[in-house]
Amino acid sequence: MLTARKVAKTYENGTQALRDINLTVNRGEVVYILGESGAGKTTFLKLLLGMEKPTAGELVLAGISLINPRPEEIRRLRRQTGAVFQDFKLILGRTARENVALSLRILGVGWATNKKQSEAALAAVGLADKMDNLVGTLSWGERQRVALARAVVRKPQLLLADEPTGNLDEVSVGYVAQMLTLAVEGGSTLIVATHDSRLIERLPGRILVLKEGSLTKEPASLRGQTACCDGGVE
Amino acid sequence: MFANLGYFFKEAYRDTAQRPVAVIFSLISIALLLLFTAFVFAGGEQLQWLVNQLGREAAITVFLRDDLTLTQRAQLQEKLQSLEGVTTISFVSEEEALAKMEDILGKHSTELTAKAGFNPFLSYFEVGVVPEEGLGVAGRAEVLPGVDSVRDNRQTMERLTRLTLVIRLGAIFTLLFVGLVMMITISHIIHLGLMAREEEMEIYRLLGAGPLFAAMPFLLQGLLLGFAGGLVSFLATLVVFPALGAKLHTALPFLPLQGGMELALAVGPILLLTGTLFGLCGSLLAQYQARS
Repeated sequence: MLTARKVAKTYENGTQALRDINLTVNRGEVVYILGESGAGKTTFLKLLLGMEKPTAGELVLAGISLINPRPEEIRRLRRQTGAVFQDFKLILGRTARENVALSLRILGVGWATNKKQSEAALAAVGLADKMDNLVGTLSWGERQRVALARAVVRKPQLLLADEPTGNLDEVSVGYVAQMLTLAVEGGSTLIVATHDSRLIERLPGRILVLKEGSLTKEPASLRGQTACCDGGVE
Repeated sequence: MFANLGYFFKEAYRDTAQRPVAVIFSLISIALLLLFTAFVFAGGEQLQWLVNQLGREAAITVFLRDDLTLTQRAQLQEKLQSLEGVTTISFVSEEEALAKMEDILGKHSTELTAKAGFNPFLSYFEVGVVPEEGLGVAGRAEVLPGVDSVRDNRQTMERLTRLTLVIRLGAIFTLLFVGLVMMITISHIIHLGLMAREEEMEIYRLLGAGPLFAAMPFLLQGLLLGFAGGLVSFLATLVVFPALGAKLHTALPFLPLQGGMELALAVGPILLLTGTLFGLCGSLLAQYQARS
């Protein structure tokens, strides 16, 4: 699903966000990327969504090279991907239902199917009674769940989530874990940037740690399932 | 894309409804501009109609000398009849000529004859001709004995045709100018919408939407705004043109003018098409500006 060879990202101001990343993620795998703020987790997810380009190395996702992709390749990749952003990227002036339905509408899903699946996704994250509320009126945690429903509803090949449980209570973390589990069972590959052990406990997966832009060994304190990464590990 | 057509229309409406005052003022501006264009086009149509009517008449008038005897008049009629290209011929006496003018001018004619103190009209032959032979017949008739003068409507027709061309050219320039102003007006409205929804556009892109998905509601908005402007101006012509036509007919009863309603129906499609087309162009311009 994903192959990264010596991937690096240096911003124009000289900041080196990622360096020498080597990684292979197989289809259907669950991968957690852990790290402190500024470690490069979000940058790595941005590379995978085509929001940023690597400055060195080789990065191939779902058969598409992300070194210098064409716009239509980026679109194709994004249509196969569900993403939960740290700042959610929801349309605040629209209802929760409209935000989730937009995800399917872009894929060309017909009105009736779209309505049914959007409602089901929102119900699954515990927002059945708030579907027609404007997102701007929802709490932080509720917005996070709308964002998750929007990502999962399209049954993506790849599910990327940036801190999907940040600031959530136990109940909400339960909803999120349940949704992610369903997505993985449905065949999605899951890459999550997080430092929330509650999620990792509920949905085990491979744990990678990013430190100052480089992948390091898995910390012993976490119950990771496999080794951290292939090659290039400090 | 067709699965989302309803959604695109809904989004276009939603965006329009968010700026009702600006949209209404734009609509009024567009409708007024198109109404102005309609007047220029209608002027061209009216002149063309006049030319066609005169062309269809294809007749020359052969005025007779005052001192012509009945025998000489009969001989002249025979000679005229024998000319190549003549189809019909009928005699109009001085009294009939006066009566005809009275029919057209009404009481003004009586005032004119009263001032002159006599009937100023000459008797004449109305000679129907094959249209392309009109000038030749006139030339040959002019030299026949007993003929005072010959008048044909060819020169008038030529002048009217030239004037029609000038007005039509003016109409095209007006259309281009109006189109340009319309494009700028509509692109401004669309641009406001695009700026207000910049973040939404970014979200669309992150979800994998193509450029057309984000552009469609705005394309529809420009298209509908232009069409609505065209429709309003068309409805205005349906009211204004018949009223104006009736006044013109009263003022110039001797001219075979086209009815106001017919004119409005003739320029209607031009207004609707122009409105829609330039509305779409305005939207494309706004999107181009937003991208660059």
